[in-house]
Amino acid sequence: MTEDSRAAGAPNSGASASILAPPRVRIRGLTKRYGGILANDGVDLEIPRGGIHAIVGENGAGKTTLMRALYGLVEPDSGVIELDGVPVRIATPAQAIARGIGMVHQRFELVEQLSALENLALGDLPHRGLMFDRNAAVVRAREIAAQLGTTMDWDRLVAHLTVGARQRLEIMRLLYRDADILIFDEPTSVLTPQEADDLFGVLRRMAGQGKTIIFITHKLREVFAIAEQVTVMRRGRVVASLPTKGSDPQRLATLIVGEQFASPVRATTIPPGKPVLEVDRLSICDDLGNLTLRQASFSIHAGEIVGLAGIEGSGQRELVEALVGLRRPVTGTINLRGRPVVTASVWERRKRGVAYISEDRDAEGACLPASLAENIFSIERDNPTLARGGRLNLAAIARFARSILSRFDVRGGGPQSPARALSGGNLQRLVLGREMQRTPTLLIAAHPTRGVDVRGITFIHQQLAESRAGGAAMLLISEELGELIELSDRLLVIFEGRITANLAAGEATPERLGLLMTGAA
Amino acid sequence: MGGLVNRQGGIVNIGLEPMMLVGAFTAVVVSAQSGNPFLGVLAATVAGALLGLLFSWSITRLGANEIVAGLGLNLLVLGFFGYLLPTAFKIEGTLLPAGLVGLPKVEIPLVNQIPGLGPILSGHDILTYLSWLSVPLVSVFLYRTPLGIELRATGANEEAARAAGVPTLRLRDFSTVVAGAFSGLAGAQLSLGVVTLFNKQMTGGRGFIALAAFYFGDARPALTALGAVIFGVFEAAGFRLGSSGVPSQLVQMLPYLVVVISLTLVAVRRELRVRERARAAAA
Repeated sequence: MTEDSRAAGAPNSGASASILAPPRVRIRGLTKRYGGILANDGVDLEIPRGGIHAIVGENGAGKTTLMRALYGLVEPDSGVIELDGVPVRIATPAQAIARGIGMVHQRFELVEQLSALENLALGDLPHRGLMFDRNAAVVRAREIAAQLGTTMDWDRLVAHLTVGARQRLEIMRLLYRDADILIFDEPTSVLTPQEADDLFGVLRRMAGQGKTIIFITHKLREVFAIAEQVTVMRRGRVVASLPTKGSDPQRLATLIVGEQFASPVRATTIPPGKPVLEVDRLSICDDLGNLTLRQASFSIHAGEIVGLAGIEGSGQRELVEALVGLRRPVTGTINLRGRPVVTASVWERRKRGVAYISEDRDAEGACLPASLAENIFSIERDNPTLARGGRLNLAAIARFARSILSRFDVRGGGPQSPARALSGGNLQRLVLGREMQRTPTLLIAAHPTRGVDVRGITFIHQQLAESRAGGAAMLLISEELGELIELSDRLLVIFEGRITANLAAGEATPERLGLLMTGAA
Repeated sequence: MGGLVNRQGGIVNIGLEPMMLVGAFTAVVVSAQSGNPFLGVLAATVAGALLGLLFSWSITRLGANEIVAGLGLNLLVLGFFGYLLPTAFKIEGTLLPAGLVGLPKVEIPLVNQIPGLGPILSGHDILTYLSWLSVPLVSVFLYRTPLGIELRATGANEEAARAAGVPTLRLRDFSTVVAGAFSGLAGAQLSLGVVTLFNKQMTGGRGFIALAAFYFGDARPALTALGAVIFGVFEAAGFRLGSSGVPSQLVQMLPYLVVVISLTLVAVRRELRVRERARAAAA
């Protein structure tokens, strides 16, 4: 339980405590594969004892997988983890904790119905006889709070604590368990700016006490605010590891997105038509009651593709759900061709020309056990040639489905095959075909090319461009900056739930977007 | 109180009713055989606890759904007595074996002299006093002992509790065993305290009323006890009204109606609170 006992577990650390002391954490050749995707591809990383080390990269760059491997939540396929120069095997979080490694997740692992004190000590509650020794726990709790230079209302239920206080409590839990390597996975994504500043104070203090802090983030501003060293990951590999002193956000942004070919500025051939979608001061809560979209206002005109760029989890999902009719906003209005639709159901909106390509193809975009024909019919229920008076015309539905399958080149099944028989790319063609054939006035396309092969991507891009030429208004959400820049007439950037930029097609470069998305500009 | 401990441990136990019934039966049989009602009570407790353990294993280890398993237990126990009573005891309705001794009533000296309150507080069997005592005891257990805190953590957020190193499965088993033991005691109180006989309809939905009580009380001991008292008062009121010419079916409905209405009110209040929080967050 003490510093000494752990040092004894790693004899080398004391023996060679000279200038050549081995790094606190060294990862060599770590590889982790999920199906066909290399999440981590031979990652090498060294983190010295003490100080704050940032790890940055796009979504899916492999940061979180790497840290989960260090914390025993992911078993690497190959590679070595060394602590103080000693190779160790960390198979479970319990083993990680026993070696002094703690992790603060994006979603806190606290029990809301218990008090702060009970949460702090949970799993190792001090007791006298049969009874919980509250006084002993309070003494320990005060010690830890003083060590961090913060305070805590220990008797308060966690449910009544602010997010910032919950995070401090999570940190204190790690210290209660004697962690001295602390991993933070995007810790500021849930905090207000003031709370984030408080957190930075706590992190600096812990670093000053010799603890090793690893800090995963998307936000370059934060990297330069607190980290001494930064590692950049891209597509499962470490592309750079450098001191923050002497570097700048511009350079990091380029490293993060990689060398992207400069896309030719697309001439806007059609002057935008009347506004189709008008969103005014829209605020939306997520399922937990956190405000994830704040006062968003924008409009999309007929014949216009508006791209929405942002780090995943910045409020895009809630915005899409509100536009489609799956989530009721807290405040604000949504007008479709001048008429309010905030309270309209999904089906009413669809009847007014809204089409939707969901980012979650398997759960929301299609019904996997249902047949292809049924999947298509699901949004054609008002089509009188397919169903009349409560009776389905099965032959007509099958014919209709076949025409869509051939027009959109869906391979791998006929009208009666179950949707789960199709590959991801073909399923996306099915969804696209189903939505497009109604010639929508407003298309919400969330990550339309995610998990689709190159041939499919080109096809989908063509379809989106054709739909725009036909006068559709479109909101395009994608994590591929190249795709956004190539297709969009206008680009919105969303950061921490706010729309922070509105750029014309010519103004947007990957570097500029990268800076805006990470809040660095 | 037993169901409450179980709920705090994360299992909604709709098997309280059959556990009570088994307790009532065991108490009657053992008491009649031994001539000692306290042995009957002890046996009822053990029988309830064993049934609880069986029930719990089917949920925590075999992955059965708690509602389906609970329904199964209800039907199984009712069917079992429907078969057992005619075949083994050669009776249809009520079991009243020879030599059956009920629990003695205990008069508390001085208290029984208080006008008005005396008959309410005094003159009950030992199990009734025990049930009163259980409210503060359960409260201390849940909020002041490490085990109780871990149990509440398990029920509130099993994943977080497990991540913190709490043996959640064992705790859930433990909580169900406690629920079984308490139900067994409750059954013994019915069959040896209130009356001195066994009938397979004798629990009359009290296991489910208990369920409603801890929903009413949000699984907190004092509030849950209050809920149980309220439901009991309406049941008693039903008995009184029954002799005043109101149709008996309507009267018998009363306690259950109160249960439904109060649970609805509890749910409405909770929903309003959630909405208020969302509004506050947006402002």
